[in-house]
Amino acid sequence: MDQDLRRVVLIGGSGFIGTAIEAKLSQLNVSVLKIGSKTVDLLDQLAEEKLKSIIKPNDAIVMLAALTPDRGRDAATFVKNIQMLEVIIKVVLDINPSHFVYVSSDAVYGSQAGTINESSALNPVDLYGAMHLSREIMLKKILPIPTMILRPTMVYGNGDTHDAYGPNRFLRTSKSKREITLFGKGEEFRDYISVEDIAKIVCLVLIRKCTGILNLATGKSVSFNSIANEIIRNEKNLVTIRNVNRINKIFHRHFDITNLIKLFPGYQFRKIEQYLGSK
Amino acid sequence: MKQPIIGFVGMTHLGLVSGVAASKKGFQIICYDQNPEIIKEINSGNLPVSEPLLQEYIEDSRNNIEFTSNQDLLNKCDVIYIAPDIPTDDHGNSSLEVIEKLIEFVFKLIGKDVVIVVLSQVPPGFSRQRSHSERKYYYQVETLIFGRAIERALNPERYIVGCANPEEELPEAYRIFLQAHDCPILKMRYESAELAKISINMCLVASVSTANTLAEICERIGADWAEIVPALKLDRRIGQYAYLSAGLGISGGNLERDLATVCRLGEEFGTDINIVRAWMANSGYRKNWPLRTLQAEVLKRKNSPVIAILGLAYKENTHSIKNSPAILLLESLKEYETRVYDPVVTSDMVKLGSKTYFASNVLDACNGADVLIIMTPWDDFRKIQIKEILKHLSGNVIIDPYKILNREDCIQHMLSYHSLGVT
Repeated sequence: MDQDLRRVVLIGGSGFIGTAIEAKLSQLNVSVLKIGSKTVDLLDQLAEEKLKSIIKPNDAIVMLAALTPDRGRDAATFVKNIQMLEVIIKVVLDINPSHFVYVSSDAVYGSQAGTINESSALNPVDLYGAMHLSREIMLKKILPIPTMILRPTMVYGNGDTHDAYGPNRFLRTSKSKREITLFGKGEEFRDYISVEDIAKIVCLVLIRKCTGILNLATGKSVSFNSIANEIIRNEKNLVTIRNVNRINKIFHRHFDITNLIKLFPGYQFRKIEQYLGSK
Repeated sequence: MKQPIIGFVGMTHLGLVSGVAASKKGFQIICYDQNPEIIKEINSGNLPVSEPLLQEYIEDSRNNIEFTSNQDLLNKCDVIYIAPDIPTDDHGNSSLEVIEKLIEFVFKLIGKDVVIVVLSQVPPGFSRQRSHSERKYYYQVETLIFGRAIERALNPERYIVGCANPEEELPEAYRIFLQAHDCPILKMRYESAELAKISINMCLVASVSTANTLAEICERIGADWAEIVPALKLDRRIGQYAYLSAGLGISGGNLERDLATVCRLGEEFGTDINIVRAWMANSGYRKNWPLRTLQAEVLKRKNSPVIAILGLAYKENTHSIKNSPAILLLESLKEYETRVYDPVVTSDMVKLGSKTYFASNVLDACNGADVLIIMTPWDDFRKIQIKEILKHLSGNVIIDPYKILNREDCIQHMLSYHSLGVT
């Protein structure tokens, strides 16, 4: 364990990913302070002062707090998200923590097809992606504090409260309705990463005090259709697929994870089939 | 006119090889370098570069080639080639300081009747700036290929000569020398010649990038790029000599320099260079193919594997490791025990990590290794007997991008075999 890693402060740590990171850090006997919106509301006028009294220079900070698209996709949500990071930046500049990790999103790449790596064009197509990209740009202010930006792709796993199109929704509807709805034939390929892998990699990033930008993806994409069929096999063919007209044009997404391999050679991702089989 | 005496200035790769090849054509050659140590080493047989037949040809031509650091001998020459290698940085940017100083030196030393030819690659615009109405000053395109430099210098496909005025005849001494090689001589203005060299390399990069892009698709869909290549080569619009072998991106420095130059020109003059940027990105991506394959086949499956790497040079028959995929791979494997061997590259030429062992031969490198990776297609490696290496390897994974070993033989011996362009 890095000698400087005395405590990790998880800002926005009450959510799906934050909970998994907290569990992993606890397993590693790292002291964790979780700050959720109930502890400190980042949009509150007193947030900055409260955080300054909590965060210490030896802390490593993991910033997860964001109003996700299910909480709003409009300009007002965008502005709130920017305001939240502005508070964090003020605190970071004042306290000088030992390490700052920002959990961004692959939404910064937009809907471009093909194989994505960290050098791919940044071209968000919605305000959520634009928000993460704006935040990444804002973070340049806090350099030279060692800073890592992580861009996870589609995350699955236990505790997912979102109902996004993908494995968790498919699992839910396969149980509740005995049905999985696919847009078109579910041909699109996506890279799904388990929340446990996100947590493990965040821990590795903290331990090694990594800096830079890293996509969090497995490098192996699967189609929605193959996920649906895997669930159906596991459910002994008692679930049916309902195909509905697709809303958007098909685009596939693959990741070139060479930079992740270079940073953590030998890292083994959990296979999505294992997760689906355990449900 | 009697046979002209030809001088070569700058005894690095280009100058040395060109001088030696010219001597094989029977001309009296003076090879000059300002550094007496380099001349001393060459005269004692310690050549600064490795090229097939270079050493033998020097021995053969002892009577008509002289290596010297005595600048006065250059005054005997009718034609002087200025031919130092032009160093590039990691981004392909040329450092022109050396060539600029040598041109100035030769201009001061040599009379106005002597033909001065710059052979080193210079960017568009360079020659016109240095030409002088009273000087016989030319830029000649070099098409040196590492590992085949002597062969290419002796049998050029054509000469491309950049001139102040291409309508004028070439000076007799220069013409006699070029005509001795029995190939077309294409005169053109300086700028065209400078861009011709880059154009040739861009076409090569386009072929290489196309091959690599399609080879990867072959790997995913069950096709075999090696089966497709002959069909392409029989197409007259592509041709039998096209660069279509699947490889590990672009290395060596020369092509990268031209890519950087085209990007610089495009940025400066506002032309579309997106395709060039795509080639560069593709090269970087393909260079990491061995690492990705190693990750999938070994690193994910075994803790602390021992990794044998054969070949460090960026290609066969050269000592150059500039932008070599093998070096890139080694840099990513610092935390693993690696055993490396190259027939020409020596341990002092490479920055080795504490866990890297520099083996004395192929089998020494294979000792106890869980995986064998062949990173340079040296002919020596084609002689490897599978049965022999099996006695030394601990594991059964072979990563052989260039198909140096026999695929069927490997598979018969229950090896997990991985190469470019095929599943």
